Amino acid sequence: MTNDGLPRRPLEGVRIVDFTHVLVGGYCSLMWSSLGAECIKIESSARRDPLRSRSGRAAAQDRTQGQMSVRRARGGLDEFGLNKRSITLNLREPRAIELAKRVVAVSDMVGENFRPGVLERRGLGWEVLREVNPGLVYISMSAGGGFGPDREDAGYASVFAAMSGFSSMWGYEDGPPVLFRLPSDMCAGAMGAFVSIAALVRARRTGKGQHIDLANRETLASYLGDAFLDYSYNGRVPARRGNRHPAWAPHGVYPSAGEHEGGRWITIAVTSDEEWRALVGAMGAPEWAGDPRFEHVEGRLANQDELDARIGEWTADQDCFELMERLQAVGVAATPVGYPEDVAASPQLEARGAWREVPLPNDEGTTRWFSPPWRFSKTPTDILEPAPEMGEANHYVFCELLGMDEDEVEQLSAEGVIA
Amino acid sequence: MIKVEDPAEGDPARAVPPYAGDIEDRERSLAFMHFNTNKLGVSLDIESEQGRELLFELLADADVFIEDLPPAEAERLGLDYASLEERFPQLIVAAITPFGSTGPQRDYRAEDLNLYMYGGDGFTNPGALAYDTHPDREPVKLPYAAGEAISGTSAALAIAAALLVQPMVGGQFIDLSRQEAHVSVMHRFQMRSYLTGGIYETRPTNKHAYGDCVPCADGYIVVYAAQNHHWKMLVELMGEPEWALDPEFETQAGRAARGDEIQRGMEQWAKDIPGEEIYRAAQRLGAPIGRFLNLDEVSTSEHERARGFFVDGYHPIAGPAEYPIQLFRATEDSPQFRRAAPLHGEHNREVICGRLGRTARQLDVLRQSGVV
Repeated sequence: MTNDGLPRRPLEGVRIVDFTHVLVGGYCSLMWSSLGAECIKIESSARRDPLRSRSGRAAAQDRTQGQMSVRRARGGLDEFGLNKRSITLNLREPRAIELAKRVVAVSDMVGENFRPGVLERRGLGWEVLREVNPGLVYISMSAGGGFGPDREDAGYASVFAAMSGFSSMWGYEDGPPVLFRLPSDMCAGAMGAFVSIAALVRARRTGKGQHIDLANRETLASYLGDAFLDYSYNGRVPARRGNRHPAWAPHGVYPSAGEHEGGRWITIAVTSDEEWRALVGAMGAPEWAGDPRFEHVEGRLANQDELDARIGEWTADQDCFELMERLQAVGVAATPVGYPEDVAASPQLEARGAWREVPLPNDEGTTRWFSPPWRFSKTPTDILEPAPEMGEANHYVFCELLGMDEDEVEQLSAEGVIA
Repeated sequence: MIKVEDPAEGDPARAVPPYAGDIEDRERSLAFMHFNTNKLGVSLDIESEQGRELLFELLADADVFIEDLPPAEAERLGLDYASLEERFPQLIVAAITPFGSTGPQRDYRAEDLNLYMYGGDGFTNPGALAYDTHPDREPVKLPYAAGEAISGTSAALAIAAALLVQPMVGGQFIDLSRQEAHVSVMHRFQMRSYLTGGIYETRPTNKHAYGDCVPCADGYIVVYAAQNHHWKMLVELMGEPEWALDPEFETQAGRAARGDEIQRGMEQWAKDIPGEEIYRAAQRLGAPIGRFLNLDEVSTSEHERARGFFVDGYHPIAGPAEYPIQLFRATEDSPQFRRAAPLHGEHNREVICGRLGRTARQLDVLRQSGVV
C-alpha cells in the first residue's frame, strides 16, 4: 500500500493459496504474482514442483541424457516463481490438510492443476473449502476438465493440444499437422488467470465465491471458434491454411538474406489494394507486378502460388531488418521472423521497459526476465522478488498469519508435516 | 458489452470468409460471428464530432473502453488516455495495439501473421514430422486467428485485474502490446533457454528424439515417452516387440542416441492401427499419448458432448448452430450463449434512444447525416 492507503498493484491485498505446479499452473500463478497478489505456493519436500529441478545443474543433466535436442534452460521455477512466496506442507499428513484449510480460510483464492480428483481425495476439494471460506474463488485447471469421460487422461501440452483439434489445424495445406508443445501450457495458464480474476471481481461485489473447472483442451479449441462454426454451419471439416489468409494476399513468410541455422525470413501481410500498390512501389514496380491479375485482391488470392514465388525472389537477397524498415515506411505490414537474440535486442521492447534484471538464487548473479505484456498507468505491475526457496514463508504464514507459535511450527517440521 | 463499428463498412472481420451457408454477406462471416457473440452493436462515425460526442456519452456510463486504433489515430481522435482521463476518471481505457502505445516502433503496421512471427515462437514451427516432411519450407503461423485470441486473452486478464482495483483507484490506462503478449506466452520458453543458456530450438531441433507426431492408419498420434516409466508403457502398448527390448533403450540417454531407430519402429507399429484404438489403449496404461483430432471429431466427441463445450446458438440471419464457447464450467458463471453477434447497427435504437435518451426523430436525423 502507498501512504494514502491506495494499492500500488492491481491485485495487492489478494491472497492466493497456490497448489499449482509445472507450466499451466505456473504461468497462471506467475500472472497473479506479477499483478501483485500474495501468491503462497504450497510445496513439500516429498512432492517438489518439477520446475524446481530444471534449473542449473539439473539442466546440465538433462543435456547429457539428451532427450530433448536442446535443453539447457535455466529456469523453470527461477522464472515461474517470481514474486511468489513458498510454504511447505506434506499433504499426505492429515495435520497438513488442516493447516492448508486454515490458510485457505484467510485467503481469497485457491488455484490448482493436479489431475482431476487429486485434491478432493486429500480433503481439499471445492465442497470442503467452500465451507471453510464462503467467498472463495477456486480454480482447477486440467487437460480435459474435471468431468467427462476423458477426465483422467494423462495430459501433457502436446497431447491436450492435439486432442483439442488445434494442432490438426496448424501446418502447411499439404503437410502433416504441427505439434503444439510448451506454449500451449502458457495459453491455458493465461486463460486460467483471466477467468479466476474475473471471478474474484464478482466475489468482491457479491461476497459469493465459486469453483471454476477449466479444460486446457477447450481453451485451445475456443481460439478456433470460427473454424468450429464452419463445421457447425457448413458441415465442412476445415483444412490447414499454412500462412495464407482467406481475404488478403499476399500474406506470407518469404526467404531473406543472412545466415542463421533456421534461415532468415521476412513476413508480409497486405490487407488492401492500396497497400499492394505501396508494395509494388517498394519493389521498384517490376513488370510482373503490373499483371492485371494482381491488381485486385480477388486476382491475387486466385494466383497466390505465382505471387508468393515472385515476392520470394525479390526478398531473397535482402536483409530482413532493412526490408522491414523500407516496407513499414510505405505502410506495409512487414516484420522479420524473430529469433530470441532479435527479441532480446529489440529497441521497441527496450524502450518500453519490457525487461527486468532480477537476482538468481544462491548468489549466482542476475538474469533478465520478461515482464507481463501490459503497462498499467496507476497500479504498475512489476517483477520485484526472485523465486522463493522452498518454505521461505513458513514463519510468515504459520506464525504471523495463523498465529501459531514457533515451537509448534518447529515441532510440526520435525514430524514431517510442515516439510 | 457494446461494440462500436463504423457505419460504412463495419468491422473488417465481417469481410473475412468463410461465411455461414457459404453466402458472402457481411452478416455471415464466421470469424465475426464467433468473436462477437453476446455483444450489442452500434454503428457510429467517430470521425464526426457528433459521433464522438455520442461515444463520450456511452463512456460516461462505462467501466471499460477497449480500442485497437493505431496510437496516432487514437490521439488524433481524442480517444487516447490523456484526452479521456480528466473527463472520465472512473474509466479503464485498454489500448490493444501491435507494439504498444509508446516506443520507436509504436506506429509500425503489423497483422497477426507479422506479430506471431516477430514476437512469438514462429522460428520453431513447424518442428518434428511437419518439418522433416518439408525441411525447405518457411516457418508457419498459428492457425486462424489464434494469435489474436492469445493477445486478447492477455488483455482480458489485465482488464479484469484493473476492474478489481477500480473501486479503490478509479480508472486507469492499460497499454497492451500484442508483440509483448506473444513474447510472454509463446516465446517465453525458448527465450529463457537463450538468456540463461545461450541456446534455443529452431525448426530442425524442435522435437524430441522420438515420439511427437507419428502417422497411424487414419491420421496421426501424438506420443510423449521421454521418461523411463513412459517408455515402459509405450513398449507394453506396442506389444513388447523385440527391437524395443534392446537393453540400451533402458536409459533416456540410450534411447536418445538411437532416436531415429525408435521412431521407425514406432511408425512401423502404428501404421495399420486406427488412432482411436492406440489412444484408448495408451490412456488405459496411463501413457501420455493422444490423437490429432480433426474438428468434426472434437465436435462429436463424447467428452465434449458430456462437458457441454458446444452450446446451441441462433443467429437471426445465419440460423442455428453449435457455438464452441463454454470453455469452463463454473458453479456460478459458466459462459452462455445469450445473443448472437450483432448485425451491423442492430442495437442503434436500443442504445442511442434507450440509453442515451435520443428520440426516434433525432435518431433518424443522425442516420440521415451518416453519424449513425
